[in-house]
Amino acid sequence: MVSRRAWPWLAGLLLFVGVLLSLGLGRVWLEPTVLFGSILEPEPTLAWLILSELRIPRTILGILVGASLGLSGAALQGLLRNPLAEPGLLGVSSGAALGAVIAIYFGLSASFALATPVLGITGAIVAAILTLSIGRGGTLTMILAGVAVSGLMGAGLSLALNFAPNPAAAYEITIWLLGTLESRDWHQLYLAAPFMLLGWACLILTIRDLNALTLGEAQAESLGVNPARTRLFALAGTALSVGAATAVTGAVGFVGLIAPHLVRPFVGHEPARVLFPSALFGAILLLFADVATRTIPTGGQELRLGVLTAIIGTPFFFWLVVKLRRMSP
Amino acid sequence: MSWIEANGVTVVRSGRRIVNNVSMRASAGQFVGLIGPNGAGKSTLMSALAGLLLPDYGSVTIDDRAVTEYDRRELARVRAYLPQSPRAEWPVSVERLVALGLTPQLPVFGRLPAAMREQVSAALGIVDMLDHRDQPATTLSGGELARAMLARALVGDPTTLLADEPLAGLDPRHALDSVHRLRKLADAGKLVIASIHDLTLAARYTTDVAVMREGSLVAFGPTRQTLTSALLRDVFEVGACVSDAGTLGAIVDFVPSPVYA
Repeated sequence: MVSRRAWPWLAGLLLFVGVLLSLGLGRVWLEPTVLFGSILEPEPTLAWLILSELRIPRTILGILVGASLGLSGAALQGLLRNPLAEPGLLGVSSGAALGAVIAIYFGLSASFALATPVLGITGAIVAAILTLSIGRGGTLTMILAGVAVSGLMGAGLSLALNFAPNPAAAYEITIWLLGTLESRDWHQLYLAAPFMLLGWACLILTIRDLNALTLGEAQAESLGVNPARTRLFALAGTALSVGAATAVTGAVGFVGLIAPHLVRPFVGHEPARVLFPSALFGAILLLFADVATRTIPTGGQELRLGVLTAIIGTPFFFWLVVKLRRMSP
Repeated sequence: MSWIEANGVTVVRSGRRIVNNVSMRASAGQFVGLIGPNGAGKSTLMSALAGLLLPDYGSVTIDDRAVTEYDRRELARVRAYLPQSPRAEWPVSVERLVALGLTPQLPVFGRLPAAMREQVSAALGIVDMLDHRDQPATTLSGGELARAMLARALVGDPTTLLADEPLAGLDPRHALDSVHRLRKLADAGKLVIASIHDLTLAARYTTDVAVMREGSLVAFGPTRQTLTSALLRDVFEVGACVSDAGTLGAIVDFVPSPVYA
């Protein structure tokens, strides 16, 4: 068992190792000496090109996406006071996916590379506005509205697949939905990062309220918390950060669900203490998962990130359900 | 001297007046027991008094200012509100749970400042929970949790405490302990308003009773004079027998109405 004092060091170490692996591993293996050489003395060598154009943006994007998922997962679990809450619950991820798929479907992404993430972020924001305006008034109504909006966006996705102009388009949509960090460059990073950071700011503004919600909604409100404002900020923060993340990577599930649970044994259950460690572990999880997709030999086709997180995440979900069942009478 | 006043408070839900034109005024040193049958509007009135629910008509005033004029956090320091059977949603320590009562002042990160630790200790001392300080709140028994939540409400030293059924679900000993504690708080100069279903306990420990029926306040005054058999028969529609209301020996008993019919 890692002591509570040691865990920040452990997290830092894991993140460092993750970054190194993410920079070094891939179709071309960069020796640590080459890696550091290229970083210290940038020359237009092949190694430097691989690093600066592929691996560095991919690694930074991995960290930002993972942190967004971890942060919003922790915030939503705190807001809904439900350990099974995750960013996908509010319809934001499927909204982003639908937006991106629309870009692919109408061939916009072929003529203008950033069309996919731009429409993805738009989709996430539309979904969030829908969820918030329908689900106004309470936590439960907000969850239900989120489920309904997810369903609506999912129907849109199916519709796009149903009427895909040709098998290639259907295939492209399907593959995109599986989620990956592959061949993401600086442009996509520049586009998504501001939204993610803005989302983080919204989520961080809810910290005090999330703590007070430990006492339940009525007591939190009596202590000066404005529940409507808290819901607004948590949802807007999730929409911006996870929406932007999904818009550039496709759907990556389970990280937002798992990260908060991984850190609770070390930092306790108070929402304010879970938030940042959860973001950190979200980033670590995503980095390692992304490295794994590059290194697991699959013969040609890359294993998709979203598929891997689902394969690893599902058993964890089962474990969580069993644990909760044991705890409740 | 702090006080709270309801002036013609009316709450309408789907066309029904759940709270109907309630006016009352209570001040420091009083322990007001809010009694009445289920669905009489007690909880709704409590929420309105706490400023959590805006009445459709009428107003609530605390210490010369309408509750709507208070900033949320300011109001949180003046009055504490305990809802029915409060729950701890996460297994945080009792100390942190109680410290959440200081939310308006509480630093978001890091350890509790020394001054706040003392406040928390004092509050835990009042409810006799110092031994449970580091225990996860979700593992407390019902009685312990009720006491921890009372400490949570008291930790900010509010002048007014509004508690919605604080005795619900407590065994006789803990119910006696709790109601006695509430009376001591009133004797120490706080204003305590609590909705209570156990009328014997209400008759023994409250200084005043406010009696509601179908949304209206039908009686409000010192327990000794107000809590009579005739009133309870009228309000609860069963035969009632009250002896020595307003003293520690008070007993309230109910019998099926045909006996009195």
